[in-house]
Amino acid sequence: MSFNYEKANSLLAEWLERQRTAFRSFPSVSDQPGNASQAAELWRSYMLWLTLARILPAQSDAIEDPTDPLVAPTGGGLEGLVGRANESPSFATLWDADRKSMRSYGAWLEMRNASAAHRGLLDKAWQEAHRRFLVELAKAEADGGPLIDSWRKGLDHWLAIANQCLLETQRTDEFLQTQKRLLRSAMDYRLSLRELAEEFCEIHQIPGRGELDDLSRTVHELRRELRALKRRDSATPVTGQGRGVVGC
Amino acid sequence: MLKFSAEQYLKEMAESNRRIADGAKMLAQIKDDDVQIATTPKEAVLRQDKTTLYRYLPTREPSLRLPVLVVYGLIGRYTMADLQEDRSLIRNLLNQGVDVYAVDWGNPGRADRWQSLEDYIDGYLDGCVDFIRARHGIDAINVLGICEGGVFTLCHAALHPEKVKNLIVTITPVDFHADVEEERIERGFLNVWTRSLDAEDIDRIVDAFGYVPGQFMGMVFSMLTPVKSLTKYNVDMLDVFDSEDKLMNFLRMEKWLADRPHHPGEAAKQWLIELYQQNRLVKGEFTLDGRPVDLSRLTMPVLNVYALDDHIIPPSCSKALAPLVGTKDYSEIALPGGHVGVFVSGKSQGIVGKGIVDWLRERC
Repeated sequence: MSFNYEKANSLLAEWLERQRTAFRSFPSVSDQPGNASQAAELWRSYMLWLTLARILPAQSDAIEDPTDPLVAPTGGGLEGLVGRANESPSFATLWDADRKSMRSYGAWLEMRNASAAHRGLLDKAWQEAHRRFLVELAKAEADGGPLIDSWRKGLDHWLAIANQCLLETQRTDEFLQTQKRLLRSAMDYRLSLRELAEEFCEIHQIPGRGELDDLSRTVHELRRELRALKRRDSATPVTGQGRGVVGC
Repeated sequence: MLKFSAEQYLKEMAESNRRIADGAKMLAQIKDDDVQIATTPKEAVLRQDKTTLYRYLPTREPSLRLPVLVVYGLIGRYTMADLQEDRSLIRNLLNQGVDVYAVDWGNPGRADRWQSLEDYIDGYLDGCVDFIRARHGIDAINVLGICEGGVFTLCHAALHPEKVKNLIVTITPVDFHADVEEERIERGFLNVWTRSLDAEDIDRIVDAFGYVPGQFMGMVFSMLTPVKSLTKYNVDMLDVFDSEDKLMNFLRMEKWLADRPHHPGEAAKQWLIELYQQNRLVKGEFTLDGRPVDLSRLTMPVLNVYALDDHIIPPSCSKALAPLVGTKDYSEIALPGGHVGVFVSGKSQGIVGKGIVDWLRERC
């Protein structure tokens, strides 16, 4: 699998052209009140990254397609390869550590893809905010909408629109699902690292996290038993007995 | 209508730059030690494992016979009730002659993975209540719960109604699904987000860390105000740089936010799965050590304080308590402001403390 240079170059060329347009739109200093189109251009110039974001739909859509080599530069095939290796039957005494490493790598790939899909969704929300703001600016000029008589008011207006768009996006099923996928993959990756660490601890006779968890569980259960016993044997309130109580 | 010139824009930018320069100068002169929170004098009177019970030193003769125990939850720390001298619920209570105690759950870590709500409510909290009862030679005390701590106090009072004379809950969720009634989009996302997960996802977090990391909770909270979270350290700083007082208030809040403890694993599973996802408390299905938490056993006077603009615990989630309690002496105080604002905003200072003490005086 190879990186899709042609598609990347085309995206880059488009981004450069849009940057050029944005720079050209810088207004000259003037003491005349601006109009909607000047303000819109000014806005674009300060939001160059959003100008870039406007070309993202193609990329965002592609992100959801794990076989797209542009958004999965290691090649969609690698995920397949790792996935197949992880799903293959295991042997009792063969390649145990290798399988754990491969599982961890597979978890990392999934986390990276989940993160890209989630970012793509957020990018769309920012683009929508950008679109709504430009529409509002044009409306303000055309029909005397809300008065924007300072840059700060304009900025606050933009932030309010962006906040609304993000809140709306966050409540969509798509957002909640991509976020769940991201959270799940991040935890799976962390757990896979723990599995590798446990392997290392085992070899070097170091107590692993699982062992410490077992130990803390035993201590916790003993404390609860002690507390219950003290309660049962005491007619008066226990005032915290059995929980390592120290009166101060 | 769009009405500003390029010259005006440049003037605004110049003013912003001046503020940034002033702010940078102020910041350079402030040391971390200058930013102190929870400074009201107190003494540790009881320790149970990592839990410490503090008693605040009185500032005047007591005017209430029974002490008040302040119980915060495991998300955030009790120091929010004593953020700074002029924004402190604790000081407001002390200044009105209340004997105040507060529970600090300490810093739960991986070793506390198995600590459940039973341990916190029926173990440590009950131990604190018993200790205060024994110390003062009284049968019952006043208990004030905040947020998750409010749920702890509801459960404790329902299991041990004889030990609680008056119960006050503040910004406390009771019906975890009542957010669906909220019309404002900025409210209740925490409920929506938690319900979007599977129970296995929460198990995974606890398996991976042993607890729910404080930073993780902070990240979830930042989603509730997405743009505010992005502008906090840039655009909003321009307003904070207005004066040293504003900057110090901001830095104190930052200090409190940075001190966000981890939530112990098993207790987090109960909180997020059994309460947030399954809404067991309001259904009467929530149990602690097999004993059902029956809110109709709340026969003592109950005061429910909630914030009208609370985006973390929407008012509808708190107000759901009214029909569930077993007492006829149930009151509410609805305060303007947001979740934390109830305790730390300049506007609410005095209102909350005075409202609570007036209510207690009528019942002691």
